[in-house]
Amino acid sequence: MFTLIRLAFRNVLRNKGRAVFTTGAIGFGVMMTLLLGSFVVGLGNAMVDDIVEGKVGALQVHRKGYDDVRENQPLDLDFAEVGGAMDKVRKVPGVTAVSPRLVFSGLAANGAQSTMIVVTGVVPELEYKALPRSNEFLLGKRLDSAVPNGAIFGTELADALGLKAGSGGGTIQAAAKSGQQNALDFELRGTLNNGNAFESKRSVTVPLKWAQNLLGMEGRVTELAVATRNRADIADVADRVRAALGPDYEVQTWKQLRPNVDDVVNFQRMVLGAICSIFLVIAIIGVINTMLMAVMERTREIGTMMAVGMRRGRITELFLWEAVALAVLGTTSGLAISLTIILTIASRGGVPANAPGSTAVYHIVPAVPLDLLLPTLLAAGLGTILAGVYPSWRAARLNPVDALRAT
Amino acid sequence: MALVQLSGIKKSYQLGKTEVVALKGVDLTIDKGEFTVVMGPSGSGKTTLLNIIGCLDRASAGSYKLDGEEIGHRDFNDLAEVRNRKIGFIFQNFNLIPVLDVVENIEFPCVIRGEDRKALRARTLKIAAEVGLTPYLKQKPDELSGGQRQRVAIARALVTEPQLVLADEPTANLDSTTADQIIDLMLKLNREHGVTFLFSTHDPRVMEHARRVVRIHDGVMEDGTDAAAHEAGRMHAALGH
Repeated sequence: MFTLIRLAFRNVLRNKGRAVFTTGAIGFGVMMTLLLGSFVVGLGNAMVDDIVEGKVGALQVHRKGYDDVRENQPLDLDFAEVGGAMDKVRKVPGVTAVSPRLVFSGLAANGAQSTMIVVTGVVPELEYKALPRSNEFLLGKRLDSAVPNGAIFGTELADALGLKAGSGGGTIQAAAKSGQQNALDFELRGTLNNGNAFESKRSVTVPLKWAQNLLGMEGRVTELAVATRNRADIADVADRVRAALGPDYEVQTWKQLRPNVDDVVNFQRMVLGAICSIFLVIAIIGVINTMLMAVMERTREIGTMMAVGMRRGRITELFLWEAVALAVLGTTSGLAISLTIILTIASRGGVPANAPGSTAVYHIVPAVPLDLLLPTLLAAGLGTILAGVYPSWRAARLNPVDALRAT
Repeated sequence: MALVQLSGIKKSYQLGKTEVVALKGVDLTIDKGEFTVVMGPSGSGKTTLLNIIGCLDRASAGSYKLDGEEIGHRDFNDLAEVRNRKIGFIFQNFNLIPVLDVVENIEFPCVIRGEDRKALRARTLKIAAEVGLTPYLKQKPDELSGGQRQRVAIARALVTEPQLVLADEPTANLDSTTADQIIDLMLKLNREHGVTFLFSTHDPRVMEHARRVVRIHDGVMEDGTDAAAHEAGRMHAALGH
């Protein structure tokens, strides 16, 4: 068998140009699959990072029933900012930070015009600890507890009101929990363009104390954004938080809050699968073509091997080993090149790109798609070997007399 | 003692809608140790005859016994086994495997039957020395001259210690000096090892040395020592070709 394997590798390498072309086709298929896969993983990671560390947190806690009427930003499903739920959640193993929030709707006005907004009151220090990426796309200054009326607006919202960060402000008006309309002046510290159209047009973030003052809800919040130690065990931490808080509260993970992210990643994987299948089919056609050419060119050689006593089975085996040689050389080269490219780009901080439906620029750091690695190598390897079956059969079925007569 | 016994061998092909009869009932016996030439014009059926004797092809009718065994109706793999064990081939175009070096080419028929490498290597080196290939053992076929390649082919044909060596126009692609050397080499191997040689050739130098020449014409055998062929060979030698 070793003789056949050695002979097969030598046969593959005897026409170096063709060997490079064929193994290159297989390698290119493997490389493109893994490279595209690495960017799908990287893009998915970037989206999840943005959501978990920049927007909603790993988990959110609300009073029971909040999610059903979330769009109305209800103020009557509130709870204490200090002690109670906040303390219980902090103590849950796996929780690393908790940010209390007060979410409400209102109107922002610049004296001449006004527009609907959704306001989130936060404690800056706690918010930035729980969601460290929340200022990643900020232009201007962060919220600061020392500036009690500071506000951050979505970029398009600020533009619509003609407000510039650091040099203007206006009034935010909202209905207090009691139903009374209140208004307070704010100072625009920064604008945020995180790529989400709704947030860019409607979102405002203010210090929690200022929001509580506006709504007459001192010491009250409607939401806790929770950070966890590990991304992998968020569901377990959510269960522990539920157990700690009891039935009066509802706990949702980021996946429940933003189910479209998984859909986007799955869709990207599906598209990736289709593209990679095309690469693979092209590579396999290349292998069949190369091997049929090899059988044609080496017909007399096959006749010679038959003449000296080689059985049909061993002729088949020889050509199948040649397919294996192509598979090994092709997949190995594709794997080596793709890993080198992925690790090089990753070590340089990734590549800037827009997330789907977003204008914000993310740095996508490609990651080796571990779950794709084995299927890709197996598909390319087995596909190549299967591609060798027909040419091998053709070689073995040759008539020795005709084969020896071939030029 | 008879090594090859052909009796009433017929071979016909289907060429489109036409049936071509290549052999029309050939009877031929070749004894062990003979140095025999089959001659005949193109299309006479001599290649078909050699293919049948070499177990590369099967007769349409008749009986073929090799070393006393009827082998006419064996299947492909059985015939491959017979070729591997009992027959050596020397081709006009040498037919070496280009990716194998001289030693590997010589050993190839034995390697594919799984022979012990150590004993095989010793035998290979002995045969290589005998045919004058010792300085070229690690060379690839494309690094050898035509004569050297044919020596490799001869060594490959002999390494299995066959009972019969079939040589199809073995000197056709060689210059006259090299062809003479190759003929001398085969005569020596025939004389010293008792290997039976059967040639298909037009080369008068081969015919000159043949102990027996059988003629084939339109698929019919005319056996016997051919004086005319010998004479042609002698004249050729006298003219210094």
